[in-house]
Amino acid sequence: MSQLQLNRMPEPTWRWLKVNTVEEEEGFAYPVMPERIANSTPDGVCTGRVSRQSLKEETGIGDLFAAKNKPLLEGMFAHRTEDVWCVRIADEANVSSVIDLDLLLPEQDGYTDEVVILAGRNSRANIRLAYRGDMDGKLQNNVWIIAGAGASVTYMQANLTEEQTKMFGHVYAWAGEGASLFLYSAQMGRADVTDGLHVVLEGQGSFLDARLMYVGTNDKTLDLTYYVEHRGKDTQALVTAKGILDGNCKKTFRDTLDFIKGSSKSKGREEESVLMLSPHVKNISVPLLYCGEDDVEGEHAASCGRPDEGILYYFMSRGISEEEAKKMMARSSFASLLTEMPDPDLKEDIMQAITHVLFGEKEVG
Amino acid sequence: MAKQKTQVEDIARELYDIKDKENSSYKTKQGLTEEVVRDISRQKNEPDWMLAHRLKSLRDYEKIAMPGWGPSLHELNMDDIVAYVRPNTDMAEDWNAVPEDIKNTFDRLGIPKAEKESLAGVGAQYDSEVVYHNVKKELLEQGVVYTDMETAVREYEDIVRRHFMKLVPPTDHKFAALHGAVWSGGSFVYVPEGVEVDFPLQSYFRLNAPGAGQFEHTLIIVEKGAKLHFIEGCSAPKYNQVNLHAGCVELFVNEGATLRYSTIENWSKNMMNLNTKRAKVEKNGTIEWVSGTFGSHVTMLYPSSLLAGEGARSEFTGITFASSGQHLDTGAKVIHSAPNTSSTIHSRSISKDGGKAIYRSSLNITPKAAGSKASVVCESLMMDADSRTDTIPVMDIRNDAVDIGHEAKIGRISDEAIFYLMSRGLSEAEAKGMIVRGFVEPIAKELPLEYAVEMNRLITLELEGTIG
Repeated sequence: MSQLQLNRMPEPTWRWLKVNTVEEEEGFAYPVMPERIANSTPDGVCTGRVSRQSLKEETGIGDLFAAKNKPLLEGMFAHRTEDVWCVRIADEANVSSVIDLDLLLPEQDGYTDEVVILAGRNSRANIRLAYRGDMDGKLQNNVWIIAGAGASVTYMQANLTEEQTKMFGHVYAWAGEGASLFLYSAQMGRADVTDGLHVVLEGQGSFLDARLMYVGTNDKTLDLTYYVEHRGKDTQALVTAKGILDGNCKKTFRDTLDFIKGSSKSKGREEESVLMLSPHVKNISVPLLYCGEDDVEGEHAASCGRPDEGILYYFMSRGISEEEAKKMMARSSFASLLTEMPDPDLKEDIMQAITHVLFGEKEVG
Repeated sequence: MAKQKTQVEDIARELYDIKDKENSSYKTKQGLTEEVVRDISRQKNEPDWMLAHRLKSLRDYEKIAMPGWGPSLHELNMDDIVAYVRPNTDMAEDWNAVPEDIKNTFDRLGIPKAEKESLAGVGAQYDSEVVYHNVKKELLEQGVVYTDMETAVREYEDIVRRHFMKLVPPTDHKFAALHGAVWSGGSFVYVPEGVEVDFPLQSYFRLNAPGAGQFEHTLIIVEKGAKLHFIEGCSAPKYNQVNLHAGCVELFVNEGATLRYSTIENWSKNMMNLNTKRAKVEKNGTIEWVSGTFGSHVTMLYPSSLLAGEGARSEFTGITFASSGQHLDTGAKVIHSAPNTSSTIHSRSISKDGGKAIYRSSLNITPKAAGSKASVVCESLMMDADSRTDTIPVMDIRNDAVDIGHEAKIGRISDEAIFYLMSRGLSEAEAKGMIVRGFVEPIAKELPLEYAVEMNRLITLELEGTIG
């Protein structure tokens, strides 16, 4: 079976480092479209199936990202569904309740889920998509977010699947003039994950705040690629990633800020910190900065290490066991990224998943 | 009135662009063939093992592919390169015995003067051979060896054979293989146990012949508890055809020893500079790399440190200046392969007028390297939107009992910083000059004084325009 090259670095580096791409066997032919039955649809929101072709003609979706992602799109989604699940938010709509797209995966060989979120001008909406279940196979997930001028979109995605569901996901987000994107991604699944994010800050003054959380245990492999293009003037991006690694897991995280010529006055910052709970983890970080424009500010920072021994000692001196202390430190590591998440239920599910995945406990009754 | 941006003048090159009339005593044919490799070996009257090494390297070169990353090397055609050019002189220990034109070249470059004033020994290479070599008597009496590589192959055969291209094997990459096949010239340094060499040794490499390659090999062994500062400089005049530099530096720093390796690279803008430098550091040893990259059309240069013994240390300090027509891909690599090792990488770059300055690095912490610490700091200054700067660092950490930090910044001169200085009474030009000089100062202060002065001379500032 031939191999697909996924999560490719924008520009390759030394081959011996084995970070330029990740390979996966082809075989994503799961054209089953999940049914989402909405309990209620808020005012200003319209959801349902839409043909891929008509959506493409309306929005130019796919072409917005094509230059950078064509090989990925052509390879990974060779067997694409005819329809996509579309969430359309009307111009000027201010949606106060969270739009729930959660899926409990059925028992079958694999699943393809493709969602398009179209946020109209000056609209405001919060959308969540959590995957749960223990499907024995590959979950292929593709989310497209188009935020019109002045729109503010908060998208929260959580992988809460169990041991058999391998995740292959990608989020594509495009921001128009003055639009704001708040993206949360929690990779708490117990099986391997290949995940990516591609954000295009096209409109002048557009903004991104992306928060990634991931947990790896046992022999899990996490391969994550975040890519932010500053195309418009005066765009801002803040990308924060926090991870906790245990057991023999391997994580590769490629995080790119790309300042395209013409993106003057733009600012970007990316930061990753990793808590390592085992001496056997493989922690690979590739924080990239590309710059073709002089009037910008770009920064990145990366750090990793064990739980601070001073803090561990402090907890243990107050009667807390070492394992409990580590749990508290693991939860607090993510808590700072989740303080502003507008869905407290999902926030709690993510926090519980930390202890479930790391320490094998289910706190949900 | 249109706003004008801060200008940074190009590197002042007049001194380096003076061409000597070609006067070689021998040249191999163009291209890379077995005949050329055998010819070079014959010219040097080498032992059989070295010829065998060259021929195997040639076979490796033919098998290994060009790199699939980094700058384009499409302008390099080995069929057009002359791999060996012997100058019309033997090696001398007295500058008066060096032919006038060659001596004048090194005089202009300040080498004899530096030797008199501040160095313990000098090696000067012109095209493919060393033309001058001398070392102070006091060092010889201490057992220090500083000679050209060809002499070392003959007179220190055992030690050279044990170390030659063991740290950088020909199979490492295509240009290591090329070097193994056609190397010529370079320096061999041996510092015995406990000897501290108080003044630096310096080798200077000058490539005068158009369309030629320079493939010098530097091999330095610093024994237990010894100390050395080695300086390397290089330049070439500019031609309208490609010249190639594929040198190799191998440094063995033994237990408790310290080696500082400083380089000021000022090749001409027709030069493809594909150099390989690597150090292996044993227990409690220290390697300090200081690197200034100003010249060449294309550079691929990543000094590497293998921290093999407990407590070994590596420090890398580098500056890269990329101007019009230059694609300089530089950085460093560190492998922590023993407990309690430490490393720092501190890199700065300036790019202007369409120049590309790329920072590329790797930091590897192996499972054996518990208690290790590493810090990587990389800062890039872009002077205009025609230029490009990218940072491509990779960290591969395989032990949790470590302390790792990495940060990088890109940008232009801060308007706030200029405003702050102007509010304290400086003119705009003074403020900008102070900021740019401050940007390069952490690197300049690591260079030997005369090179720091030289670097400041190379970067001349012309400041005009208003804020923002």
